[in-house]
Amino acid sequence: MLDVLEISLLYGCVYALVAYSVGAISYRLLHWPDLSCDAAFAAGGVVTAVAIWRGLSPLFGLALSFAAGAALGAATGILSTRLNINKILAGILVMTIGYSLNLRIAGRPNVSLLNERTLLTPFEGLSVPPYLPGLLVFGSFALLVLVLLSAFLHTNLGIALRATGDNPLMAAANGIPVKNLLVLGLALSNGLVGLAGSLVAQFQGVGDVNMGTGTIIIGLASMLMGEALFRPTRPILLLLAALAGAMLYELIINVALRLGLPPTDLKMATGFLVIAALALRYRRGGWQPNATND
Amino acid sequence: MLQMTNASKTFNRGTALATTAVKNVTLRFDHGSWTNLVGPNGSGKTTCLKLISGEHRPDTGTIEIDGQDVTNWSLTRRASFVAQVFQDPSMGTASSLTIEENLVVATLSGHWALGFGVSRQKRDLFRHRLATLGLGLENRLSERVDLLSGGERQAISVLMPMLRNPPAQLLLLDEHVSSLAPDLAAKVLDITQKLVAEARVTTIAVTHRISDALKYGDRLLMIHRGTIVMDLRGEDKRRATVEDVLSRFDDASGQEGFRDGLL
Repeated sequence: MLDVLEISLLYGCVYALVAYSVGAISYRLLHWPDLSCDAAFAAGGVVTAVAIWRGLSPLFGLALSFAAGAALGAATGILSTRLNINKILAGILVMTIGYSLNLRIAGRPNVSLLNERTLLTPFEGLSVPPYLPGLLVFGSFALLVLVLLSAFLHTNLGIALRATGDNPLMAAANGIPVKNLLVLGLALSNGLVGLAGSLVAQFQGVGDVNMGTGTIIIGLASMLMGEALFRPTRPILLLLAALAGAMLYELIINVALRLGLPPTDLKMATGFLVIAALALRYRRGGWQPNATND
Repeated sequence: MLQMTNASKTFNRGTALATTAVKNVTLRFDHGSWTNLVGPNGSGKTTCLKLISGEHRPDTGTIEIDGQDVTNWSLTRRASFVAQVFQDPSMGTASSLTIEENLVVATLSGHWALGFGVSRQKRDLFRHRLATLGLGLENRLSERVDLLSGGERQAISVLMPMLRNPPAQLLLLDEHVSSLAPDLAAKVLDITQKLVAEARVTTIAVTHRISDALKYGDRLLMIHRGTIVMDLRGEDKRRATVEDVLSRFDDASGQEGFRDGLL
């Protein structure tokens, strides 16, 4: 049994990827509470599990998981921008369809990786604390993605993406293909969610079609709690807030579990955390003055 | 340069609420000219502007730019050469982006190189262009736009079309200073005049204030009930006073009550 602090840090690093994507990119920058991430997370886990089970390398599995998540995100974006389907509904549709697709890919509800080679296998048998390899691997992912995303958001494309989310009319008036950029943003976001799903499957030794349930709530909770810690005014700070929020979220949840919160009440507790963070935000104001209704 | 021929627009056609906002209007706007559209509320001046921007399509008539018929071009398609600045200062810029990032958005114009958006070269260009506005914005390049005043945001909104590559050919100003305090409004109008003159952009401005319409630009069009009732240019416009314009308006409308909407 790992200790509370270590397990929180470890999962905080994995769920930081969810917080960057669902919380920062989709929700905060694109104003899109994107439900398709639930399917993308499970797709990431299932695709990696099947890939490894078939003998492919864990890194290749990671890349496939990114692609699977990105495809689901792009689907949500296309449904919304090209067929004019409501954002939330488009996400729900992809989440629902994605569930069946994940079952099809897995061929059964879960695929075990217990005796397979994962990213963590090389560390087995070393005389180090059991949490250390995971923490190192996931921590480097969390930091690497933070640096890359932060850089991306300052490129021409990244600035165009942020302008699209902030003021679509202004973006379109300046020749930015707003619809395509929304699709791209959601693909990137859900690709990262797929990556997180892959890491969790490799750590837990199983890819499960149900493992994505509630991903959106974890992403939002982390982002909102991070914002409650400090008010991010630029992209790098927004991503750091997401990282800090993910750590804090995992810490609160794991402490609560240790103190006797029944695991069956976990999703309810998370829901209450989101509501509390939203209420706090409503009282204090937040990232963008023009985004009032969230 | 811009030619509007026999354009008409009726809203709620075929219903009891049918209102003809623009009636058979034929107008020619010369390259590099600045025209002010005045008229009381509901006169059709904003509809006229929206026929040009592409937000509304005319029921009859045509709109041509440099001889090309753009009547059926969408708003998005026309955006490649038309720029608009609206009354609400938050509409023309993205609040959570910095000043320099907003200016980068204007310069993108389909150049999607994956380099960093704010290059040293671009920053120098922005600093130089902002300095000419005289608002001190050249020293605040990396500040978020939501920290700026309405006047500062409008000045940036007017500068952005000039930074496009190629620059916008047609600038539509929809009461772009009417939400600003009088001294700021004057300042933003001066800045607009300077930028428009430098870039030789054809400008069409809708305004409520006759005094501004006389002071700025080189043509004044008065619209009433969807038709042009006054077209002042050159020497005639320079010599005209606010009272002249108002009395011509009274003649045209036959009612004095409408004056209030013009002051």
